[in-house]
Amino acid sequence: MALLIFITVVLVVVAIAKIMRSHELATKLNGDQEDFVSLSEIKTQGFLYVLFGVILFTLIGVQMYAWGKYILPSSASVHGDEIDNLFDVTMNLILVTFFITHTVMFAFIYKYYQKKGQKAFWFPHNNKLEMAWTIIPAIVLLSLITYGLSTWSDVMYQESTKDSVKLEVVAEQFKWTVRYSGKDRELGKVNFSTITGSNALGIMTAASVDSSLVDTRKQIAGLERSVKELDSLVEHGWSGKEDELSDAESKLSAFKANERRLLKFQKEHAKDAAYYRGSEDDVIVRDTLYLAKDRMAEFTFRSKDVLHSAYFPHFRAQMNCVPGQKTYFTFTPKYTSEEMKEVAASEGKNFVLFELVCNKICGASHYKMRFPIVVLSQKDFDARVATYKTFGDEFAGK
Amino acid sequence: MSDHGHHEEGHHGHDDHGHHAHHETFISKYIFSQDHKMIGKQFLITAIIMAVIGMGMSIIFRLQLAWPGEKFAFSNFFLGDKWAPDGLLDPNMYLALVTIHGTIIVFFVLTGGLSGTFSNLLIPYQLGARDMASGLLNMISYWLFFISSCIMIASCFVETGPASAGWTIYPPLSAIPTAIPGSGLGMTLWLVSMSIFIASSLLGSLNYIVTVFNLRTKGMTMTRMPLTIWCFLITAILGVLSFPVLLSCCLLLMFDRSFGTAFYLSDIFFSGVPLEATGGSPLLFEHLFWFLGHPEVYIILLPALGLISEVISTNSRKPIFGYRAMIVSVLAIAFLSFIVWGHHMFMTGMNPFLGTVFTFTTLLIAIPSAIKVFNYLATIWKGNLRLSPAMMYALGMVSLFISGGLTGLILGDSALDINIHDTYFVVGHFHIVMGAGAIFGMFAGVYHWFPRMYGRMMMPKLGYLHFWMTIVGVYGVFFPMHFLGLAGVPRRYFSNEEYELFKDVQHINVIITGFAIMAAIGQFVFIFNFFYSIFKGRKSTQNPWESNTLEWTAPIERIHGNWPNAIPEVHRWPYDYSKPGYEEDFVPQSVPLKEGESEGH
Repeated sequence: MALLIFITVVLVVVAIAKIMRSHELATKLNGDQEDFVSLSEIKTQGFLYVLFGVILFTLIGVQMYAWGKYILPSSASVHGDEIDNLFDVTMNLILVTFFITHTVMFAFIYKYYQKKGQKAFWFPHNNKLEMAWTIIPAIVLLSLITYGLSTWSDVMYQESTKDSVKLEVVAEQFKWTVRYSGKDRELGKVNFSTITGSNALGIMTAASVDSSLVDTRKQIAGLERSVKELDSLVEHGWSGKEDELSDAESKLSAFKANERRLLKFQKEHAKDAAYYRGSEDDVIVRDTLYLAKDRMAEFTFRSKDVLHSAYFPHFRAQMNCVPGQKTYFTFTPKYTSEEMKEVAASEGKNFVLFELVCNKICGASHYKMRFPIVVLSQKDFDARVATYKTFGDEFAGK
Repeated sequence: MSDHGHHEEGHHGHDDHGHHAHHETFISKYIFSQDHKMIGKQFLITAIIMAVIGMGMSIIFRLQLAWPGEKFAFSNFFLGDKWAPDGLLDPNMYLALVTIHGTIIVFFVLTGGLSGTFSNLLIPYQLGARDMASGLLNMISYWLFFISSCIMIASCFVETGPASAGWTIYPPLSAIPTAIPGSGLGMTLWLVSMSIFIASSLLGSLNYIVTVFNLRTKGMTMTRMPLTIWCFLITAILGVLSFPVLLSCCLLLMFDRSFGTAFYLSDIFFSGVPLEATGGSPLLFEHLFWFLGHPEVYIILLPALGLISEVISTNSRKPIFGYRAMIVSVLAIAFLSFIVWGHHMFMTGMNPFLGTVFTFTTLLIAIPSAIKVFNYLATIWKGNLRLSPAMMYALGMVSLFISGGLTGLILGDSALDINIHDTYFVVGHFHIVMGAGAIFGMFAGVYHWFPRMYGRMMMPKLGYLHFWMTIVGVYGVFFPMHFLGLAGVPRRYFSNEEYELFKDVQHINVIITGFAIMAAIGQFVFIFNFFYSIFKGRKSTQNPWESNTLEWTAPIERIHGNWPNAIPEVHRWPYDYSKPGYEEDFVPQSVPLKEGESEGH
């Protein structure tokens, strides 16, 4: 079937081409021999170019009218307003430049397409003109740069407030997890070596380090056994086991390295309670990102495996999640989720819920890696977070 | 003017026997040819084949994006039952198609194809040289390009699929073989293919640079070179300075993948195992990648701008406006292109202060770009515009350069990039300015120099049909993408159906796919026109476009050594169109100045 369609398409193209070709030969016979492109053809094309210009402008207008309502509703964060203003200024400038330069171009094409007896004007350069269109864009751009950079520094360097929420968003294929700092407003230390089934974020407490050491040693013992088995199988000529063996060997070496790291932690910080400070009261939330209205949220981002990007379209916020590195972003929500519905409705826009979406290619299910966000009033937020267990309790199985 | 131009004596001593076609066999003439014209054509035809493959891939994933969950016999026909069971595209294959589509179009079509074709064809011809400085290196450059193309295509047929971490292949996704199926053998082949490609590109670029500096004919001073040559020269310099960085970037990734190093990896817990590699950083990769990646944009764009400068001037019958300003702005763009790579990385966790610096340098690029646009507009003002198919494409590129360049003001501004980074806004932007823009420059070049390549003309009517289908397609596909981006739709999503947020905009995707299919069909018009005209096209005259540059002083038949007798001498710049005091509206560069005539430009 596909082949048939394909052949049909090719045949149609060929048929059109044949017709054009015979038409062309006919024109040639009619005596329009001298030029490779005839004046009448040029006239048609000049006209078509202008027609194209009119249609292009009209359709751009239609798109802006019809699809304007799909553009994100106005910012749900405080700093976002500044970004939106900068965007509007830049966008207006772009549209004006676009329409002027295109109008000029289409007008020139229409006015100066080749005609009998028309002669081009010798005009190789003009210093004044060239100065003008160097200096004017330079001034416009320098002001745009200044405006842009002041916005950028306002957004990226926000002073921490006393009641800010400190939280961490951890990304992994293909889910998000949130950790709040708890009452002490400090996120406890984390290390990927301490990640286990019961400590998916790798939060470090004296207990979690001990337990992951136990876990790691269990893994090592198991892997050593399977390496031995696979090794003897390979030696006895079993084919197809080499990959499994090398896989087990590299895992074994990875867990041994993990054991060394954990032992180092134990040795250096065994009696160092301050080192593990802040971890016990951290709160982990796995289903929703809760934020409080008008309370600054200071985000730390991490990734456990590959690159991800935490994108909050409604809040005009985005930051990549990088394995091996912490990244930061801060914003203050302006409306609760309920209020946002009204704001969006008043702008004629559709709003269902705030969402956190992954915006850096991370694997097959990248397109499903999402997380709902709920913005509550400050009172509701505190009450809501308080319903979750602290990490200390969770880990101890309380 | 100092006499930079070299005499013809040094040119392999060909002068007395300008061609020796008699000893050429089929293999030495058409396959292992060392002749710049044949190599240019080899690049062009390889690039056309690669472009068809890249375009076909885009149609498959556009079908999925417009109608997620629908079954397409088309997809099943090309991908088979493994990757498109019943015609339902596999998400891993979707990512692979996106990746290979980007790689093919960026590197194999717009870098190899564009520079390879036109630098090879035009540098010796327009400078008045018998051939490239080294015909052998030139031949090797093409064959490395061919091998790397074959490996890239072959990578699509391995069991786990081709590379699928995006054309930017960011680690750790590309470094951990099990992170995504495409990061297995497919990724290895991608890296091997790219390494060979880089070698090809370097050999080509070195050759172009040496040729431009050493093999100009008598009188061809630097400021008498056509803008095409200026652009090819600067492109080649950009390539020589930046491609080696990509090679090192790829090599380090190979080490991480195969030899247990940790240049890009740290603190990774993957499928139950805390990986042994620690201490590296994916940001290092991003810096290295974009240190090539951004100049790469101009490696693609500058040759296209060079081609349309020539096409616009010739077909306006008017000198290019502000020749020196054009050269200076190309130099400025090239210089700035090396210090703006960070604008791809505003949201990577790079220090915000660096974001400040990169915003500054990035927005500065708009100044030389604006100068170029205004100069093109001033060139067509009061011209006598011969709207040949090449000219249509050249003007189309000016339009795309404006439309796509302007949205760059938004993306280059770090504060605005926060909310549209990696959304469809970016996809719309770069496809217009760099993808379609450069393709338009390439088409302008093909239509304009086809008679120089094959001694025949392409059919203008089909050229116009192709042009209108393409430009309508380009605006129809990429303009609506800006709206998707402003609605917050991320790129590289297999489907947007999961999201309430993006359900409303699904019909825009249907419209985009419709235009994409139309544009793709339009390309077959070109392919037919191209191959048909090679054999059956109308015979060309020696200088069909009444152009000033030296390639049109050579005879129609393409002989080895280009000119049967002495190489023409150059007496003037290449843009004496409609010069007062001359009967004709063009004065070729080889015509001596009249008594009392000033060369002033």
